[in-house]
Amino acid sequence: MEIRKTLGRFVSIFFIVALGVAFYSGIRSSEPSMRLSGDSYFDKLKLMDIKVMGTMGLTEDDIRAIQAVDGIEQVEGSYSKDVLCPVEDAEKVVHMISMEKSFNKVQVSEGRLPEKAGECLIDEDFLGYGDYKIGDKITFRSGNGEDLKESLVTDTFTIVGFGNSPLYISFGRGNSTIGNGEVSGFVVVSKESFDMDVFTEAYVRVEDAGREIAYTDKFNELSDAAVAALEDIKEQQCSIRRQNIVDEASEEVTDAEETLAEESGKLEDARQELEDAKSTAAKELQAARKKLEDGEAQLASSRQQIEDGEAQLAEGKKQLAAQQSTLDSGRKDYESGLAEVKKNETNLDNAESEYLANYAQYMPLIISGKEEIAKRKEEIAQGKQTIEQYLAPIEEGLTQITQLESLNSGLIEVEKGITDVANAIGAAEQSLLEKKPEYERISLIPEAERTEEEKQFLVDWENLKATKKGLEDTKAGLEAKQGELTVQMQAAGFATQAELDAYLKSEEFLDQKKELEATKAKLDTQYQEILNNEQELLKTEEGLLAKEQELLAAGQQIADGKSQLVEAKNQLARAKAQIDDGQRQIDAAWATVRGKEQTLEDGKNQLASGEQELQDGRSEYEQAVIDAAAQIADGEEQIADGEAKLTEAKQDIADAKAEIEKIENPKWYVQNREDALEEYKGYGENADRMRSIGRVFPVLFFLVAALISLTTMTRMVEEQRVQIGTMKALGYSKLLIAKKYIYYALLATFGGSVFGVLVGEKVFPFIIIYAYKIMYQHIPDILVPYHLEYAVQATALAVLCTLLATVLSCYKELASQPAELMRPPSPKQGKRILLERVKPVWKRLSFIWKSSIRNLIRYKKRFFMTVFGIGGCMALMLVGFGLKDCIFEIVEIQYEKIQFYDASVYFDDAITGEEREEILSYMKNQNAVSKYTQARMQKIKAKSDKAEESLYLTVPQNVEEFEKLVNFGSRTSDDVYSLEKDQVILTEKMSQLLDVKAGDKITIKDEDRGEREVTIGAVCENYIGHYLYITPELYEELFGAPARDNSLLYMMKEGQENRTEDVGEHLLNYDNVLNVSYTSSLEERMDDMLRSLNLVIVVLIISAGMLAFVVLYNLNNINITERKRELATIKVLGFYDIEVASYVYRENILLTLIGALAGMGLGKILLQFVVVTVEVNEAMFGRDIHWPSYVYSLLFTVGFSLFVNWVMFFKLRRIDMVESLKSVE
Amino acid sequence: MGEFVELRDVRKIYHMGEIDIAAADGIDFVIKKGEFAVVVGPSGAGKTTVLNILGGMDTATSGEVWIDGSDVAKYNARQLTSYRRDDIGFVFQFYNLIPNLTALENVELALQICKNPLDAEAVLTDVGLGERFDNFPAQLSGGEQQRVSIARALAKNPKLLLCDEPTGALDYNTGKAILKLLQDTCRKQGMTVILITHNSAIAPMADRVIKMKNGKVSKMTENKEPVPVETIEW
Repeated sequence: MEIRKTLGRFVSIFFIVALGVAFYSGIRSSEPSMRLSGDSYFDKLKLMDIKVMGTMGLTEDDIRAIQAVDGIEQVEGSYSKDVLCPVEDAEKVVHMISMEKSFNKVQVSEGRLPEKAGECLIDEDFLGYGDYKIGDKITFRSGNGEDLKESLVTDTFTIVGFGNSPLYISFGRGNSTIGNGEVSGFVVVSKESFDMDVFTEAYVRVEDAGREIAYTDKFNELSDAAVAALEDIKEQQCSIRRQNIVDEASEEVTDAEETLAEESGKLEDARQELEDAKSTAAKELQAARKKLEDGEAQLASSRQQIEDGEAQLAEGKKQLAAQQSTLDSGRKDYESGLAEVKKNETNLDNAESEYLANYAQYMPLIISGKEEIAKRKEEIAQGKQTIEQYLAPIEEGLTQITQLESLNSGLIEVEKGITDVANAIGAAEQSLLEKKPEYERISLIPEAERTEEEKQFLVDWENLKATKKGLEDTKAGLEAKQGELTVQMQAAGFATQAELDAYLKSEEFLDQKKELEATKAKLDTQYQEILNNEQELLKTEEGLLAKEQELLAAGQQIADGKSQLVEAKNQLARAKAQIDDGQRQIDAAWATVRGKEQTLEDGKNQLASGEQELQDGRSEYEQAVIDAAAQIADGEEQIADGEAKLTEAKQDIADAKAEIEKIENPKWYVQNREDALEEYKGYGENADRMRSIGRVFPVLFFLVAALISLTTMTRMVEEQRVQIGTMKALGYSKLLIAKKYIYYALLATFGGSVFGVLVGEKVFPFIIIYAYKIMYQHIPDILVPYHLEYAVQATALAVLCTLLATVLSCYKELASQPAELMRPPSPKQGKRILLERVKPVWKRLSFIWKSSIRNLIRYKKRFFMTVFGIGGCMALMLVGFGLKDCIFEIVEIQYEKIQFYDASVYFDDAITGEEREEILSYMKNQNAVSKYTQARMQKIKAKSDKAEESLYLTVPQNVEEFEKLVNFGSRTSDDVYSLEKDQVILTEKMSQLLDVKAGDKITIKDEDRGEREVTIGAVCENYIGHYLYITPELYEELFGAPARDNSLLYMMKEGQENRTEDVGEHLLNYDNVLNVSYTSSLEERMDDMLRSLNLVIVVLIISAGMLAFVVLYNLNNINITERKRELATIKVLGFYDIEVASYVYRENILLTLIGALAGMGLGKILLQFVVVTVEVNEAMFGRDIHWPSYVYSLLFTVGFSLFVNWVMFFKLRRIDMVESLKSVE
Repeated sequence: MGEFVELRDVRKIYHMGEIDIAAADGIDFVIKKGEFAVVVGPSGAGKTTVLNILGGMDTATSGEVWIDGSDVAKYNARQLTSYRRDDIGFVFQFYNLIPNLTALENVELALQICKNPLDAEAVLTDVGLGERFDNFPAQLSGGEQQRVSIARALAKNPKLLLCDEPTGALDYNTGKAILKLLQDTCRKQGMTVILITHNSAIAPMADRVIKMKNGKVSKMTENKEPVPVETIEW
């Protein structure tokens, strides 16, 4: 019927519902299935329900007491011990456990179980570390210096098999106080292998618990009740145990005291003996010492003598050397003197021969020279005389001439003078004549009345008169002279002056005069020549005399030299005699010195042997002293030792007594499975996580599916309105008409649901548990029973949703009049859309685009359905990817961006100061360690108004150093906080759990010290674990005592990280270092844990993808079906297939993109919600989706969309154009 | 050959299980260029088959369909699409307008794909819708919608205008107006129009009347003097 016609629609509803229901019920039932699978495994292997451990072990009595408790079905005591197992070159810590009869059955994968002491079965996971074979022998070591044979029968075991234990269902094996602090595997041995007085633990089975499923509330209730019951007896059992121990110990103490007294007596004797020995030794040594000292004194004096002798000798040698050098220089002088004398002698001989040669040559010359000179002198005197004879008359003549001439000139002069004076006298007479009247006038005037002028005139008058007189005298004189001259002239033969003058000017006179003068000049020259010759001769004579003198002097010199030479020779001969004498003396002195030296040398040798003797004596003595001292010291030490031992023993006894006093009741730790088995708990938590995922994810998935089926049904009813109208017109009742659709919907939905449940509840849990098996590989069976609860839930929901939608739309249609129904629905009006108002954009669009866009807007329902559908799928995928991002990034962020340290070391609170110092100095000296700091870490409870949670109170010793290892940053901003004095920093997840924020106050509860209130200064980013950071100052202020650091964080240098464990292993050698945990192994463990989520996420993504596909297909199908006519029309208009397809695709692509965009927003919001839900309490997941996730989701969505469109292409091609001719239905 | 449209022994046989049903059983007719041809006949006479074959929406099982010198019957699917695109204008009984495009846009949509279109506005004005360019189909009456449909067909400037019962969904007067429009188009523009109808009353207005019966042409008459539409009554 209808189904056949609309098979596509039916199938799509069927599958959408199937998918939704399958996913919902499948994911949801994963959680119980996981538990069930676990439970069946645990039951099969008889996993203990409760583990009881005693700090002092458990006795048989304890076991019996436990057995007697109500609600306990079975109990078995057991042994365990951590030992070191050799692995290749290294050692790994393994947990050795005894094999129980009725608990914790080991599954043997190879070989067999150990049957007797000395056999062991090895953890099959441990095989990864070393290559072991059955039959191999392993020798274990204790990691703390204790002899393993104290607690074990043997330390060498033969491997008889490999296997696994329900105690260890995953990779983690727990922590230890030995080795590197990390247990790597377990070893099962038979109980006989242990040699212990008491059991280390007891395993308990709770009555009826086996019937309940692990992890369920019922199981937990039973288990908790049993724990509580055991807690009740623990006080009593513990005090009994204490009493036993105290008694035993007291007895031992008493024994010890007796022994002590005995030992103390012995010690006293020994001491006396020692004293005696000491004094004897002292005396002997004293004597030896004296002897030594005497010998030493003797040696010293002889040494002194030798030294003196040596000094003297040295002095003598020095003198001798000085003398020798003087002598040598004397000899040198003598020799040079001798050489000189010889030289002089030679010179002298040369000079003499030269002199003799000279003398012979020059002397005759000189003598002849002298004779010649005398001759020449005579000649010269004769010459002179001759010339003088000739010269006398000439000179006389010349004198006469000159007399005449001067007479003449005198006459002339005198004549002239007389004339002049006569003239002057005439002038004076004239003047007197003229003035005579005047003079007469004036001379009449009495003298007194004369004027000045008149007086002057008178004077002048007188003067003039005198002048005239003078002149007259002069004239007289001159006339006298003239007379005289005239006389002379007359004497000379001249009468007058004129005659004279004429004579003088006559030619005769002048020639005579000239001749005379010439002759005179000639004679003068000759005379001069003779004088010159005379001069020359005198010179020659002088030279000769000098030469003669020279020769004579040279002769004298040579004679002198000769006598000097003789003298020198004599001197030299004397000096030589002296020198030879000196040399002889020195040689004699040397001989003496040599003799003395020999003597000294002998003395020295004697001294050396004496010294050697002394030395030997001394070392002998010293040895004796040392020996004696050593013996004494030894003796003393023995005594001291004895004393110390005694003291120690006393102390021990005292301590033991004190300890006995102090012995507290041993503690019992009663642990249920979750407390005792971390991995068991982890498995449960994973199941919880699945539940969280199941609560959110499938719901959304289901929602999308339901919505789609709902739309499809609504559309179907709407499409068939004509038919409904017709039926109604024909008189069918509403119910009858609606029935068809209701049945249709019911069939599709219910069918789909059943199918979904059947498949989903098997497939999904299987996949998920399979995924977890990566971690829990020893859980053998995957149990995936149907969980009716979820099946019913999902089916009911799906059916209801669709049915309701169908009924509602039927109702809507049926409410209308049949006539109205039979008419085609008034066609949807084309509408102008907002975009059209943006002319520039709109004009550019082609009609096809215009149509597409208008279509999108026009079919609002379809638009929203598609966008929601695609968006929903996109969001789901994005959540899948995002979840992966959020979960996987936390490990990296936590250990690389927040906690930088590579390992944390935990100390026992009993750690001593020295040990701490030692550890710190060790850390300081480690080159590979870059930073380290101490802190107190303490698990405490924190309380806000709303909740109470436990967290790690962390008190850094040095805040500044600590902040280099741990980053207090904000997740949402770039802020980095610093630990302030009066405020604390809380990690983010804890702040959410407590519902507090920065500025709020919370209360922290220290078990011993009570409750304190602190103010939160900041909330910092942190993903794994919870911490409350507080400054040491504030801690002290709050609790009144400084924080005792109990941990040490350290970070390796870059590139040295591989040495982290070396450092850790070293630290574990200290007694009070409890544990070292390495960031890298934490990281690995977290990664392992989270990796199993990976497959789950893949399942989510694939499912979301499938849903996306179905949704897209369905919506496209509706789209095409609805618009068949329109599409046929455009085909008729001549659109090619591809044009027709793109006409449709355009809308699809737009819708897909819009949907994807919406999906991104939705996904982001959804993720926040999902992450918060999925998160476990102990960790916070990231909150951000990484951009590749957006890209992947988008690509998937677009990919699906493209695929659907591709499928649609064929459907489009099949559209018959004839459709266009049909009337509107 | 020689004629503008010529069908020669066109057969269309549908296989319905064992039986072969011949929707067209050897149809022959010719239509000259510029003629207004009417194909009439009762339901099941093969009118629609002829229309489908002429319109390139379907292919003949055998025979030849010559349109302006080409044998459409031998065309493959793509050639047929091109043929529809370029040579055929189609007027539907139910107008088949794209509901979310305006009148003008509906015309322009068709124009977008063809080679030498006419101006859309001019054509719309010609069919008497000069003032309703921007109305959506739902805002137009049936007659107006049919006018848009005709305008859409004409604007493509086709060789052949095929009309499938264009008045079928219209009232009497409107129908007449549409027929008038078609006749006018034929007369004024020399457009070859083939109108398919079961209403033989329309026949007198045609240049050529092809009567069909049982998949065959029972009678083909040429009307020497077609009457104007106004005078036809039915």
